[in-house]
This record gives sequence, C-alpha cells and structure tokens, in this order.
Amino acid sequence: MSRILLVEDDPALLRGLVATLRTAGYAVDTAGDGASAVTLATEQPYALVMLDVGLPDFSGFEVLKRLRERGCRTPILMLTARDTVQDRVTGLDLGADDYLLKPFEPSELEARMRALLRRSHGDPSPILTIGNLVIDRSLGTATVCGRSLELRRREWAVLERLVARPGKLVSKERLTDEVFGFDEPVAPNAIEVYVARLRRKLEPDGPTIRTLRGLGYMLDPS
Amino acid sequence: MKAGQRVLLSLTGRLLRGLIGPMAGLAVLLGLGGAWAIESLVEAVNDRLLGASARAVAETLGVEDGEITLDLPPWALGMLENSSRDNIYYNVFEGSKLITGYPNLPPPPQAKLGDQVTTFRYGRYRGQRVRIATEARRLPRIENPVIVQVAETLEARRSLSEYMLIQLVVLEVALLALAALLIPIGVRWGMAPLTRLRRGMDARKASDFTPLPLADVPRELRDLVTTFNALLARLDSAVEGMRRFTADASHQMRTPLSVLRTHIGVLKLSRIESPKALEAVSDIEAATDRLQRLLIQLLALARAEGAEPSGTLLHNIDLGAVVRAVAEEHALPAVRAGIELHYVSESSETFTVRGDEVLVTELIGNLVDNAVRYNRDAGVVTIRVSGDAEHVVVEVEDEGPGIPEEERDKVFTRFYRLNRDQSRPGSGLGLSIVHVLTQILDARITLESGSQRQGLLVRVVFARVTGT
Repeated sequence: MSRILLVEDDPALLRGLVATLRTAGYAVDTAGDGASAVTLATEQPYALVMLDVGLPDFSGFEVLKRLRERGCRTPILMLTARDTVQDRVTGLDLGADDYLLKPFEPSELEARMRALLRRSHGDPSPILTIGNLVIDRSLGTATVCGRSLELRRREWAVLERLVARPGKLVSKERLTDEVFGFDEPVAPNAIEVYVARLRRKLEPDGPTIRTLRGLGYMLDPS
Repeated sequence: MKAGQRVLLSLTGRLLRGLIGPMAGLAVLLGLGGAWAIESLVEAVNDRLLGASARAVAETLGVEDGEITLDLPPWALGMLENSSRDNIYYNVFEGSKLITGYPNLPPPPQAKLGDQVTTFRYGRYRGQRVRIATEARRLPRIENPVIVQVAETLEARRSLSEYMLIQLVVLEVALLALAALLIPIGVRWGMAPLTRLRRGMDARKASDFTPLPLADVPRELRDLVTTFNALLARLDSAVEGMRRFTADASHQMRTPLSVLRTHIGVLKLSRIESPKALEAVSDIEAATDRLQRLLIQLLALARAEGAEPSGTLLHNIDLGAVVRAVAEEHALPAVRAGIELHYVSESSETFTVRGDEVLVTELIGNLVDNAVRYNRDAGVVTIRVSGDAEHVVVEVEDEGPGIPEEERDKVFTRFYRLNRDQSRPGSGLGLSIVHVLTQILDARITLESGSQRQGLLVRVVFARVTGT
C-alpha cells in the first residue's frame, strides 16, 4: 500500500482527507507546516506528497522548491485555493506533477493520485477495473462480470486506449493514430466500426462508450 | 442651470469676452482722443498760415504824413488760397476806426491785444463761421494801436479734419477686425496646454491609474492636476483593494468548501443506516454544490468586472481551439448528466479573433454549462463554430424549454431567474458573467430559439482577424 504525505494546515480539512484516504487504503502521514513537510519528505520515502499552497510558515511553492532543490523526485500534487492561471503556472514550473483546485470532489482527488502513482511506478498494476469491466494488460484479456469478451486485436487496442483514460475524452484522430501504424491504410470510418463492435460486445452490463460528435469517444466510468 | 451661467463656464468664452470688451472700449477712447488731436492739429496748422498772412499785412503798414499807409501785397492773402475756395476777408483798424478792408468784422476789445502778438478767435461773418487772426501794431506817431485782422471761412479746415477722421475710423475698424480675427486664435493657442491635457486623459485606459506627468502642465493647472493625481491614487488603491478582496475571498471560501466536500465524502463512506440521515447527507451535498457554484460564479463576475476593458489584454487567439477545449472539458459532466455533446466546426480553417483564452473559456464554459443544465432529458447540446470573412460565430444550442422572447433581455441581469427555474439549483449569475465577458471581449451576443423552434440558441459573434 502506498505511503503518502499530506501537508495541510486546516485541521478540519486534514481530518477529512486523512479519513478519506485511509478508507481508500493509503498509509497517510501528515504535516501542518512547511518546515516539517520539508523534513518529512526528505527523510521518508513517500510514494506521493500532497501539498497545500497556503501554509502558516512558508508557502507550498517554497516547500516544493526546496524539495526539488534537494533532489527529491517524489511526485507532488499541489492543492490550492488560488485560482489564477499564474498560480497554476508557477506551481507546474517549480516542478509540481499535478495541480488540484479547491474545492474538489474526493473522488477526483483519488483519481489524480492514482494517475500520479501509476505514472511514477511505471504502472505496476496490469489490471484495470472500470465498473464491471476488468482488463488485464499483461494477459490481454477483458471480462465483464466474469464473461470473457472475445476481442480482435484492433478492438482490444481501442478498448485499452479508452480504459486508460476513463471519463476523459479521446479524440478520434488520436485514437486512429494510436491504434493504426503510420503506413497502414485507414478507412475514414475504421474507428467507428471498431467502436460499434466493442459496444455490442460490452452490452448489456459493461461500461458504455459514449460518442461525442465532433469531439471523440469517452468510456463512461459510472 | 441658467443660460448666463453656462456661458461663463466656458473658459474660451470668458477669455474672449475679457479681451474683446476692453479692446472695444480702448478703441472708442482712442477714437475720441484721435478726433481731439486731429481738431487741434488742423487748427494749429491753419492758424499758422492765417497768422502769417495777418503778420504779412501788418509788415506793410507805414506812416506817411501822419496817415497810415498800407501796401497790400497780393501774396499776403494769396497764401490763404486753397482748393476749398474759402472766403478770405481782411480789415485794418486804428483803434476802433476802420481804415480799410471789409467792415462789420469788428476788432476784439483792446485789452486782449499785445504788441507783436497774433491772437486767434472764432467769429461769424456774413452768416458763416470764420476764424480770425488779429495782429496789433504800434506805429510811430499814431496814438492808437493799428489792428490788422484776416479772417477765413472754415471749409478747408473742416474737409481736412473730416478726411483725417475718416482715416482714423478706417484704421480703427481694420484694427478691431484684425483683433477679432487674431484673438480667438491666440486664445486657442493659450488654451492648447489644457486641450493637450484633456486629450492625454481621454487617451488613457480606464484602468490606468498612473499619475499624470506634471512636467508639461501649465503652472495654473498644476494644483488641479495634483489633486486629480491624488484622486487617481485613491481610486487605484480602491480598485487594488477590490482586486485583493476578490482574490482573498476566493482563497478564503475555497478551503471551507473543501472541508465540507471532504467530510460529506467521509460521511458517505461510513455506513449510514438511518434513511433520515442519508437524506440529510444528500441535502447537505446538494446545498454545498449550490453554494460552491454560487461563490465561484460571484468571484468570476467580480473578476470579469475588474478585468481590463477591451483592447488591453486581448491578443490573437485560435477561437476554434479554445471552444473545442471547452467542449472537451464539459464532455464528462455532460455524459454524467445524460446529455449528448456535439461539436461542429464548419471547416478545418483557423478562426483567429482578438480575445483571451481564460475569458473565452469562462464565457463559452458558462453557456455550455447552462445548455447542459437546462436541457431536456437525454437532450443534445450542439456547439458550433463557423466564420465568414469578417466574423467568427460560436453557437451553443440546447433542446431545453428555451427562454421566452419577452424575457431574453432580462436574463443578463444579475440574480435574475426564470419563474419556472426557481425550484432548480442555480445562481442566476451565469448569463450576467457571460454578458460582462462579451463586453470585455468586444463580442456580440444574441439569444434565439433553437433550430427546431425549441430550445435555446445562444450566438456569440466575434470580429475575425484576417491576414495574420
């Protein structure tokens, strides 16, 4: 289980986040100010640091800067109440890996954390679950409620791309680029054909692939 | 305000009045003085001739055998001849006895006459005004002084002084006309620093609170400009205070909202058995959503209103790309709400407009958000981007109930909500923000019915930037 450091000075928010994250199975350490955050993050091997920008002694940006200066490579997720683009740019420039604006949905926070952890660990878990759909990337299998989907190579590739970004829009152009090689001749509606076939195979109890006309496709995680 | 006061309120008017009034008075005085000077000059010049004539006559007086003789040379009176054909009269008295010349031109009382002195006076002769020069001489062996009088009518004098007066009047009129022509030019020139100052103030951006430079301000206006600068500084700090307040308020409200949301999440994770408690949690969650939306909208509105007016922060942006990004951002919420989101771009060309990514995102985002919220179940939201040579048009269309025509003007008012929406969550701020943003972005917004005579179609028209 991942061990994470949560740096937040508001005690009520801290309690709520700790409860949420522990329930989700994380081991959570906390720090309420910048100095102890820097000490803890440099001494302990955390998988992820969640850093509030507004801290009593010095700002989260400063903590971030000091950590990066000391060569700390731990992924850092900034939590902030500042909503200007400038703040966002400052955070990312200083080496933050992601940036989450308060107030956020706990589920959104968890999704971002999972994404960061996956990225830094080179995605150790080959198994992804979206609702009733389970796909195993190492075996190349997909099941819905235990029923195995017999997928052709391209269908698998399309599904895998969509599952990797649940709830995110994947444009048709990008999907085409990722599924087909450069020199393969591609019919303009090839992707539509594969998506239609995938939809049939996912029915009736698997997640839905939504078409957003003019925009692309999205695997509906709900 | 009364008309008289209004005239006095024009500086140029005041200056013109103040200059031309005294100038006209001076001209009248100058005219009177000139007339007087002309009269004296004409009199003096002509009297010299008249006196010389009288003296010439007197020089020829002699005494022969106790008798007074007079040898009147022709030039003595001839020098008085002129083009005005004035009549010339002369006579010689011994005491009060006429010796020769015209009678009825009596000599003045003796007391006023001195020897070798010519005196002048006006008199009447044969019904005409005349100027008379009188010269008295004492001759040897003559008891009474001999008095020589030469008189002339005044025709030449009058015509000379008339001629000179006309010259004077013409000169003065010309002078006044020239002044009337030059004074306004001069006044305008004098007022130029004021005009420059005003132009400089006009050209400033509404949000530019830097003090006006005092270096090229006329001394008389310096106090005024200093006061104005002080006012600017106060305004600057007020606006800055407002901006800081917005930022702080945003910052301060986001943390408690996060606390609320997080703890609602914690409550939902714990097993709540009581249906009442479950209902309470879901009500709290809905209220939190509403509060969050309201606060964020309020801040967006304050920020939009505090933003620089059009033209200052605007730059060329690819409107198609920004709108597409907004559509992508709203894809998940739309899907969650069971709404189909369509993006239609007329062509693959780039639609360049003057704008700002953040403001356009806020603007189109609000429209898409409304379209998703106020749609029918499983409805479609269509976002269209198209353009012609001069415009780029973004349309957001939904299949909801639309907005009745008579209410379309009012929906841009803050906190205005349609009657039928009163029971639904919403702040009534979304379209006010949109309205402010279109003003900042110099875009035009119209509301109409959707293409199937249902739903709402919001059209935002931007001016296209071409040739870049």
